Amino acid sequence: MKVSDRTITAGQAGIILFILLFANKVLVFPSLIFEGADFEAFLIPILSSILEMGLLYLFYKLKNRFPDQTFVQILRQHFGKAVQIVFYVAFSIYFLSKAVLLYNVTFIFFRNMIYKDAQNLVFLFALLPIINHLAICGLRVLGRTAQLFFPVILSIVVFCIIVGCFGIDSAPLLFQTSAAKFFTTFFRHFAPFGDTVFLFLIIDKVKVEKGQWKILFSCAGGALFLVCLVSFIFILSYSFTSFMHPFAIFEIMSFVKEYEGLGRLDLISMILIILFTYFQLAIYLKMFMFSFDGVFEKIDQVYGVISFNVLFLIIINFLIVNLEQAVMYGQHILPFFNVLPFAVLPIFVLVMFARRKKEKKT
Amino acid sequence: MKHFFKQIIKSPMLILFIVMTVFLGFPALGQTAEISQYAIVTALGIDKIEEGEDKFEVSFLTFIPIAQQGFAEKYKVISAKGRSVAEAMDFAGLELGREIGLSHLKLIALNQELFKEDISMFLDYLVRNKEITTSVRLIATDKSAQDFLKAAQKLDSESSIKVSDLVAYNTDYIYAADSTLESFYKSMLGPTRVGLISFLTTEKEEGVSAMADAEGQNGQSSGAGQGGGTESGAEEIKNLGETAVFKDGMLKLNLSGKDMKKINIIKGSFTTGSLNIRNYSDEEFDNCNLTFEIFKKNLKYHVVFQNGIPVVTLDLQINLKLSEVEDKDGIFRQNIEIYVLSKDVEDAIEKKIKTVMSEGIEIMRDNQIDLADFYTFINNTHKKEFEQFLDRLEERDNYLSHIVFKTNIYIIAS
Repeated sequence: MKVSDRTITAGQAGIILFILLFANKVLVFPSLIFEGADFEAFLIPILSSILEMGLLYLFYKLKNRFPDQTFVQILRQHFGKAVQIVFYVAFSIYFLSKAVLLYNVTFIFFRNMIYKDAQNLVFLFALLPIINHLAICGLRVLGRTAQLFFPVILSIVVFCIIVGCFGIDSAPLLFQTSAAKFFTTFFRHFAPFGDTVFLFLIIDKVKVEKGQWKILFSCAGGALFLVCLVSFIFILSYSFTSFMHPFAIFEIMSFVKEYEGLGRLDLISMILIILFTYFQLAIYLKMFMFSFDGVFEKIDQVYGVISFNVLFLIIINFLIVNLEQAVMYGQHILPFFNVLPFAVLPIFVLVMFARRKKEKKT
Repeated sequence: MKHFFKQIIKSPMLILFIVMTVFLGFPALGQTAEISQYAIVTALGIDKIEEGEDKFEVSFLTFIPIAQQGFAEKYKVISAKGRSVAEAMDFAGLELGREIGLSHLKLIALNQELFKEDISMFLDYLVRNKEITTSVRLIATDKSAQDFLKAAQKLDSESSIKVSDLVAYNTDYIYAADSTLESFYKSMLGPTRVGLISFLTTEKEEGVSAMADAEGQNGQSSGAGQGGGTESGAEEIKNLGETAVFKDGMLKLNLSGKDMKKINIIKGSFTTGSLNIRNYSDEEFDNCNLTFEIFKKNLKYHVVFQNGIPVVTLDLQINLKLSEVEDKDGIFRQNIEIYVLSKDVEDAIEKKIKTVMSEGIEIMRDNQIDLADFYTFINNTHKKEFEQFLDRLEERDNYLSHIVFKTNIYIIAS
């Protein structure tokens, strides 16, 4: 079976970027950063967002220099096949690891909140077929589906934030954290960032017309701004009791529980989390397929799907135990994986630019 | 038909849907209805006991859903003992033959006997339980929590008053304190380490409509905790605004509703209340008792450091309306709507508010309880100077005694 991946527009790429940048940071991230860096934790998403935007700028530069080449071709042309394969193996591991963390956190969230007796198998039944289907159908189908759901997603996000603002009721205690604590927390919780790297893998498939870059930058900027806002609202709403409220986007909605007449509006945020989880896992799988294809060019991408599913099932089987273990994995293992998008990749791209400049001169 | 099966084989998602329906859908139809699996708990009480290894007695006011045509709520109080709250809850589930569902929990009652120890150990299970909303009301009782729930059961069953409603408006009134699980933990884990819990008292009375028989439906009281033992006769649950104040999880003092008023004026955390001036005399009034209704208030803190000591100014702008006059000469005939506060009345009100505020500050100073969270305010505005000030103190916790307070009152007649 051949997977056909046709090009996507800048708008579709922007929406996928929005979903990726927003989704995996609004559940446990705000609670964990507050635990590590007190009130000043709200600066952590801002700092991380700046780095994320830097990565997008790097993509912008690369795309302008190589508008029609695949990333495989670019790497191979400048560094040889071996480096390209190493890169793509690293990408496979990177996206698989992120998918595992995302699944763990989401599974634990739903198990804690509503499906107390639900087995992992039931969750996989509900998730895996759809994400596989989305990924196999191709990038354009994924982009269009995301486009279809985007107004719903955005409306719910804005609604959650507006409702969340009503829950702010405490004066935070400022200046309690030290620089060492702040930066340790920043590094430990850096894992949810770095998703912009997916654009490098589909560099040839994103059609950005002249003047359309602002769409990509606005979507990324908007998503990151909303992440910072959700974190800020959460910290102001719960501050010292954040340990009782690990799931930020859900918790900021729970203010409405105070006024019982309104009912459980926090369920709305669950719809958002469900949509985000489907899309994000599908995108991770899609990126794994691209990475797999970059390593094993001669075989079908469907093998990539099978490999992802097998590895995914094996790893989650070890990590699914509890939130603590998933968080430990996210805090102590995954941040090191971000060396790939934020250090190794930029270095190679900058070397590439320098070489090209030198070649032009000579 | 052949075409239909061909279509199905071509659509893997359809096959998957059929598989899921067969393996997950049909077994679900055969399961017991959730309504029969759960005992829905609306109020929970904790008592401390010493019976062998058992340390806790947890009581539940449960609503057992019964499918029938009419609308009826059947409440029952059940209790179980255990070495921990979690264990006691498991035993309660065993006793009921149902799983304990806490999603609809609205009230947690704590016997005041528990306050001899760190209260957080009794609440730990509850704050970590994701089923419980943190807006659940937290109250203290003067008798065993089990007996309290039995009184509450009667109240819930025989009148439309829910016991959780009794503390629902505590945040609005000047005489009481907000006491939800969230607000208690938020203030207790904050820099002041002070938490507040509302006190509901039970009083024996007869002939009052919102009364309950101390004997619950099940008969005997366990007698756990203070005030235990079987008591007969009608009992009324009252919210007099009394508030238990905790520091570091330990009971520091009990404040009356009147004391809470003094504190709330300093905190500015109320939306309604009244102010009384007794035996007031001027050109218009002769030895009258005047009551003013508070409409709006705007309270701001300002802090400056003078010689290394923080000087906190409380600027209170308050809108008042004369709402009651007790005149010994008869009815006060002036139209209250167009009544304008005279300078003398304003001075009297200002004096009264300043007295109330200073008494509130004294309560906080004497007990080292920063209920208005001046710590956070001063720290956020003058971090360095405040740290130096605290370092100079013999006892850092006693900072309130060394802060100078000033009050400016601006009265606006509504």
